[in-house]
Amino acid sequence: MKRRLIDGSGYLIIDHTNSPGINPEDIPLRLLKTTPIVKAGEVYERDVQFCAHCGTAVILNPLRERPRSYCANCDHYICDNPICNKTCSPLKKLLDNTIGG
Amino acid sequence: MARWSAPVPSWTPVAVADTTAMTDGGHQTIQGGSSTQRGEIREVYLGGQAGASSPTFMVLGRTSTVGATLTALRLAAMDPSTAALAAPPVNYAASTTKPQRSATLGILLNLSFNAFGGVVRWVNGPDEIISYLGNTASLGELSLNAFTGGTPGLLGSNIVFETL
Repeated sequence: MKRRLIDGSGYLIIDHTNSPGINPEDIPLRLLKTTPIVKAGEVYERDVQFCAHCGTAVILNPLRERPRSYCANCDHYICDNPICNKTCSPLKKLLDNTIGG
Repeated sequence: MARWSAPVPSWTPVAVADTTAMTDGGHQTIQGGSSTQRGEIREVYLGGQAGASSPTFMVLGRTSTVGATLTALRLAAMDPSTAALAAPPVNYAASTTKPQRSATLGILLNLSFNAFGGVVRWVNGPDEIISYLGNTASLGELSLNAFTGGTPGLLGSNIVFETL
């Protein structure tokens, strides 16, 4: 059975149906790139994947055109952080090594 | 393995910078119950309870300083047949040594919303993990707290996690 990279995604919903929502000017600079702007009356639903290397959640933008970073060793998406794109150092391996002593 | 529900029915997050001591009652943190215990977060739910517009920049992430001498909050097994753990994980918001959000691993999940009527729900995918390991820095805790900025408002939160 074929498996797509997007299979096994998580799920995020931000419901501002009855809320003033969040405007771009409210968002702290450091969070600006990663905060979904969900305005008053809007509902935001997205698949969420994780970077195999650092574990950070990545909200999948269905309108993204440039390719997503991918690690062939992990067979998993990785985030756009240059450090995660440099070497394969998966979080799961770190956890396994720590448990194994 | 067993799933556990860690609710905090009503609280107001207190925004803090990275590597700064959090405020009692202003965060929700899960700490592993022993040096080898591992747990995975399955779901995070935030329901806004504020009475006025409150852009609230909640993040879930790791702490570079873990809490010590914890005051445990509610923690309930979701299945009635779940066996009691010898060393259960701790859901807490108050401690003598305060946790501090890691500058590098402090934001694994951005759950920003408006606590005036807003609702956020994140559900983990079956292949994905946000996990804690042990009970020491920097992998032994996962903290739900407010990033600096906005005007954090009253909310209720629930974290569902699974001990492995």
